Amino acid sequence: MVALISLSILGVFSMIAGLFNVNTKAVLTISIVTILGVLGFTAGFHWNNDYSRFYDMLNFDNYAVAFTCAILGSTAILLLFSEHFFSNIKQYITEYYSLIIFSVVGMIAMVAFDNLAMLFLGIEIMSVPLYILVGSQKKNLLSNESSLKYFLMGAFTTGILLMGITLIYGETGSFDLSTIQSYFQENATDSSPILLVGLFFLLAAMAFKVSAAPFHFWTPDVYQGSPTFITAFMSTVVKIAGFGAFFRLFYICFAPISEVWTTAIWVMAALTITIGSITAVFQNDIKRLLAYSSISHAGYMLISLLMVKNVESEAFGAIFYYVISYSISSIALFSVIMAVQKVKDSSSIDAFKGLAKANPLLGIIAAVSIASLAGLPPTAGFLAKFYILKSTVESGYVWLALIAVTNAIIGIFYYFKVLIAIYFKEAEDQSLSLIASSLAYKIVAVLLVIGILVLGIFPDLVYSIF
Amino acid sequence: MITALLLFPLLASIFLLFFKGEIVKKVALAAAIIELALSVWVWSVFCSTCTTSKEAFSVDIPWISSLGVHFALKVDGISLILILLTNFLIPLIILSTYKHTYNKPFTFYGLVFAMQTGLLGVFMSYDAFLFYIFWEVALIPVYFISALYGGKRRIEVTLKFFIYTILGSLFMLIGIIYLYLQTPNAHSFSWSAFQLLELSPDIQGLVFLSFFIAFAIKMPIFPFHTWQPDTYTESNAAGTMLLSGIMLKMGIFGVIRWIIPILPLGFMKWDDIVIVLAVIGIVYASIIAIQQKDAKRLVAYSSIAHVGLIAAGLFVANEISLQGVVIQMLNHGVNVVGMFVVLDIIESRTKTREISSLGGIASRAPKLAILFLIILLGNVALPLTNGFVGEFLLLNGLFGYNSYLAAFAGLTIILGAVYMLRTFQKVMLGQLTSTTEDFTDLTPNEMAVLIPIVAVILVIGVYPNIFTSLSAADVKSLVGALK
Repeated sequence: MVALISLSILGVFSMIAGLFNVNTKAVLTISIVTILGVLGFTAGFHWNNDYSRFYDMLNFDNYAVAFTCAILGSTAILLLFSEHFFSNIKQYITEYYSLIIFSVVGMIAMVAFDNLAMLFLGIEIMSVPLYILVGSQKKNLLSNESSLKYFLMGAFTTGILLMGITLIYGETGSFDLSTIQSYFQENATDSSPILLVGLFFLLAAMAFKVSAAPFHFWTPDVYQGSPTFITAFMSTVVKIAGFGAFFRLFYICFAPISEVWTTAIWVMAALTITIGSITAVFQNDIKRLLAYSSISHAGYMLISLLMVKNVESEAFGAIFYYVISYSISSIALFSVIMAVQKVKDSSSIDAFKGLAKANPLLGIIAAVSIASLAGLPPTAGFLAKFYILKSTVESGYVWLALIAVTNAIIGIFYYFKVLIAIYFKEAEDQSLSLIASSLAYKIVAVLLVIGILVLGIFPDLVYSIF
Repeated sequence: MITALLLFPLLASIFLLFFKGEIVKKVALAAAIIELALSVWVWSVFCSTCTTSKEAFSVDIPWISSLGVHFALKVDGISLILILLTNFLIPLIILSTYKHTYNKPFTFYGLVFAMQTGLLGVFMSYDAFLFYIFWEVALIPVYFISALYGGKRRIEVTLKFFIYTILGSLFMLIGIIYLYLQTPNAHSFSWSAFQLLELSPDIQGLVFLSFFIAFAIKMPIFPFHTWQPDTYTESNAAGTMLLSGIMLKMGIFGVIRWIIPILPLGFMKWDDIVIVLAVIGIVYASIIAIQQKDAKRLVAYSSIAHVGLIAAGLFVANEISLQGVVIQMLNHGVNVVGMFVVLDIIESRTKTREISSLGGIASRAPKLAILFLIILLGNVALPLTNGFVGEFLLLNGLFGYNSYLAAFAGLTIILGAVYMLRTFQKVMLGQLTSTTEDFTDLTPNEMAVLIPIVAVILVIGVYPNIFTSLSAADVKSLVGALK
């Protein structure tokens, strides 16, 4: 609750600060400090201390607290990395901050909801600032296109989500998660068309938000067209929130009728992983490549939804470890992309040629984050995939595990295209050696790299918290 | 003690980051020699406690409690031989690179030590999860070594190599996870827990395949060998030596430690097919080797042939052939590195590897010619060289399995003599050519690399007992596992 209120105040503050031309560095510092403070407060006071508000519409249980902290932490790291991006932007900088913070407020509601109405509110609060942020480069045609695309598709999905909620309400008579859950426990064999359609609508809407196939078509265009900082925000923080909500809704609320939807998730996961990784192979633009790879990662995370029969703490641990390792690795890689874009206009893979030689630190950050995204030991990404594979085999989905493994190999192939450009190709011009980073950037980057490795060697730090 | 042996190269690779310029070479060599001394010390302790307990040679520390992963290491006779091989070759490989200059030398030598850690870890680990991690950790540095420093096509070729080997190891990972989930509650990855599993022959056969693909790609066994000639040819000399001398032993060792004791029924289900594949590989690779114009490629194919014989002996798995496998792993590592060192010396002076454009080097460099001849005779398994001991045991074991196959596999010695001696004749004897006219003889550095190699070739050829006695007990228990 404190988190929601203080972040809303922070958002309003930075919006007003823009009006009065307050120094943007100061606003950024205040924002980061507040976010970290809220993170510390949430982790410290709400952990192991369930806390409901608004007639049980929000419930800060351990699951919600963990995801809230992940969202806040990723946002803070991303803001710390923003210097390369904002150095190219002249105006409305604090408005960026405030929109991001408002979006984060929506995400917290999304991972802590205990009521379908709150889920809807959270998704909307998160999405509306995103529509603006995606289109924030007013003079850029691609940015405008992606904003329009995202907005139209998103608005349509909102309709479907509402329809799904209504149908579920019609069947169970409640918006409240625990009431719905107990209804299903009593009527486990219920398979009325209303319920099935409602469930399918909810599934489609959530799949759209996390860009799972076959609802993924907006992702590449939007990721490519958005300003890079917003792409990074969408592919990491928004994804954490999306999966937080998806998992909470299906794993907790619809668990009693899992037979109805596990097959659908199985097929979607296999499709998502395969489409994402195969299409990524043919991309030459790094943002588009990462868009497809993020689709593929969404597929791995979907697999965790199949673990309904497992121990709860294992399933929570697996999904949480995956989102953490995926988001810190992606943020690290995006920070490199932003740095390169500062001196080069293009985001094609060729722009990264010779980066390691011109700037060894950026080279190492890129290498470790790519290794982690590709799932090579001893990085966090390996164990993330390992936990997912282990539980897939454990739940008896050996075929799905084989599909996942095959795609992991394809994943290594396209990630290494980027790594090869960075390490083994010669630069075409000297511009890459002009990238200068502040000390703060360097410290955060090194800490992030160490974090990826430490998480890979001591995964229990995150996996065993539930 | 063995933890120190494992972690010292890792520390060395980090330590090297603090040095700039040519001094790195000296520091690297010093570190490699310290590591060699450490392993000789372990060897001497191992021998002196041969009859008593081996407690000092295993380590078991809980690591990831949520998965039941332990940091478990164990050194037995067979792994000790491979550890000695690794630590013996790394200083020589480093010394052989003294004549090259690398862009950012600390990266290069750091990667070599990182790879050494991975290799030692593979040979020591007693926990399947740890084994898998080290298996991959050994791969990544050698990929960088080969892709950063090498020939023109190195980038495509090494990527193929990397993807190919990862493909194998990920299927092995599924196999490992399957075995893990079969262990009793509070699952465990430990070797002994895996060994206690009693799986049906069909299941063992499937899990065998998932492990075997990984190991077969690494060795490589025909028809999984397609990455190997290109990678060996395009890598720089040190990368080729690491790959051929040490890395392919990971696959053979994997079969010895992780397949034979754990999946004996699966092993017996598939062994006939694998033996036939291995023997086909021997003849096939030997015939291709005869046709090669590029000397490095020739050695690459000859290496497939030699490893094919080792693989055949491995899957015959009687006491004689397994003893042959262990000793031949050591021999092959030493001999093939010797061959590549000589080729590197020739290439760095003449700037070519084309056999046809070389000739008459013996008249300009008699020392090189003599040392090369001994290494080459080791490769063709002449009596009193190490190759004879290994190949004799292997063929003897294969003969006990099937005499026709053994006769067919015996062709390797004849064909090997054909291409090896022809190479020697064309490169070392005959008329000087324009490229070899100003050939100079070995420098002291190069002598320091080649003389230890030649010494080992002769010592093992005359008195193989030094090493066979180390592994005899373990080989016996392996054969016992298959009954």
